[in-house]
Amino acid sequence: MSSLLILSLLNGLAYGLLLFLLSSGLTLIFSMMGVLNFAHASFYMLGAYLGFQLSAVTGFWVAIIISPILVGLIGAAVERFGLRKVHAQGHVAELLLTFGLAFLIEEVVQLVWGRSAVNFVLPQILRDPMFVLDGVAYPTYRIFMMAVALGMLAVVIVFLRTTRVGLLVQAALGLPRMVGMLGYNVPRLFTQVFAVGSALAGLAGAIGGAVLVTEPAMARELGPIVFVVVVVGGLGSVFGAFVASLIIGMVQTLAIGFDRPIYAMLGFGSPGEGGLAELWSVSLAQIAPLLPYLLLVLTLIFRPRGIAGTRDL
Amino acid sequence: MTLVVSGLHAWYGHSHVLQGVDFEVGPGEIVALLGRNGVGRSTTLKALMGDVERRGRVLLDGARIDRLDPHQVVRRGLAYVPEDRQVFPTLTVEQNLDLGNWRGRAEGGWTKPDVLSRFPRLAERAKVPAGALSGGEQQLLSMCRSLLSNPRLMLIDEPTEGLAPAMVTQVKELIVEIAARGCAVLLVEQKLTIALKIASRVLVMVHGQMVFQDSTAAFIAAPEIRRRYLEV
Ligand SMILES: Nc1ncnc2c1ncn2[C@@H]1O[C@H](COP(=O)(O)OP(=O)(O)OP(=O)(O)O)[C@@H](O)[C@H]1O
Ligand SMILES: [Mg+2]
Repeated sequence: MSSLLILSLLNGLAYGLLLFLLSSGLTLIFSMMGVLNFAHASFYMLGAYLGFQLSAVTGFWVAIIISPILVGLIGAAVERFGLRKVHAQGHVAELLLTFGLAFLIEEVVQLVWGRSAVNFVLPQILRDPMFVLDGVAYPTYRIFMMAVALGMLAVVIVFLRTTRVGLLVQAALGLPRMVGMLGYNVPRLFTQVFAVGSALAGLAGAIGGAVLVTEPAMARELGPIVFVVVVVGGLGSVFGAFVASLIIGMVQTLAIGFDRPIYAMLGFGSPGEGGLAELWSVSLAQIAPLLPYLLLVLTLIFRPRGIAGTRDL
Repeated sequence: MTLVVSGLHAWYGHSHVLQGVDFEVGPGEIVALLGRNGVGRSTTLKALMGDVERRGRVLLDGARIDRLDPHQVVRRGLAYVPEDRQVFPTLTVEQNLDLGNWRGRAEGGWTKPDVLSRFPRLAERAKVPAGALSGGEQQLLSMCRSLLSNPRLMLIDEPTEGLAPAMVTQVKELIVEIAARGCAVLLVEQKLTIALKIASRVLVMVHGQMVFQDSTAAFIAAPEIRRRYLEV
């Protein structure tokens, strides 16, 4: 394998795992409560900004622990005092609430931290290269991101599979009312799941913020992709979200890493000028941002339960 | 355990389904709730559980439970087995049973080993996802799951619907045993022969109201009630 391919694959993996960290919470929230939480990526942004701010005070390592906890608490408050109140008015009201919240958070972030990107600096140990391949240094930081995301995946899966609360969450993914009819406080379970989901998004922000640039537009940029992951992965499936995150991370990164015009990929010569030449000369990197949405549309049409979903959308 | 229901109303949006229902269930008895399709039998059970918009008085041993959320109603001693069974399909039989006991620990009465030894078929399939069971097995599982909270009153909605005769017998025997061990049962049952064989009292419902409530013997002695309100 060429070193370019290896590096692209590693980058795709790192990006995919970060997407998973973000979407695992959203998939639980969406499947269990039916809430299309537009503010989910805003929690990711808050995690990045809080991580940045706390780093200055507590240092990076403490900051990436405290920041997700704070974001989780904010998430719990949003669910308890916002979503739960409008729940009776139905899903549209909930959606509008999170929609408003996303804009609110963006405005607040701009007020506090300004419109341009903040300088989120990593500790030296993470900036050192992990290894050098054909003269290209691979940053330790990306490996660290992957390790954290994989660690969280393991924790979430073990929790869901082995603990009583995990079983309740699994049960409530499909039949929340029945869980209530067995004596469990489902609204409280919702709040807890929402808080944990928000905290995972906050963690993604805190560890991804330095690489992916901490700026007010970061929520708007990643938000739609996270929904793609949830739908493509399938409702109610953390595992599906995992696979979908990796696919989207890989596809996007590889498309940029192997940037070529379409005509070259199909083995033709340059089409020259005029006619359809412009179309044939579109490069893979230009198409890359569009691929997740294409996947979304195809999934909805041909496989509405996604990769591993337990029910149709 | 005594349940006293008076003036119970329930709504689905604008549709006013229960229009002032009154009845009682005494300790350890099996009460059959009868009526034609769509008269509001399932809604009566849901209204007792707090799963629909409702108004009226529901007293459990003198304490009002009509303002409580479903999980609080369960914690006062009611249990509910829905018409469509609602086993958790991706969880195993054993995990389904575990979730039936909200206390999280056994406390006398019905226990998991109890129900597993009573139904060897469930014991054999303890590690199988509940979604893979037959309809009858799912029905037994759903009843056993609710039973593990050791309720004082169980609301069971059409448990024999769509089951093979052998399964119907097992379900019937379980209901009789539940009552014999001290838990009252409010049973919605379409099969009249079964209902009349095991129930000590009968309630008949028409359009969201009770039109008859008396002993099973009195019901059998009044064939005109049956003709007017049950036969189609
Ligand atoms: N979720 C719902 N939304 C709106 N109307 C409903 C809903 N569930 C039931 N209904 C209506 O309320 C009435 C009573 O329904 P209920 O389920 O209590 O009937 P039932 O006596 O149990 O009969 P069956 O089980 O044969 O349908 C019916 O007219 C039914 O159409
Ligand atoms: Mg019914």
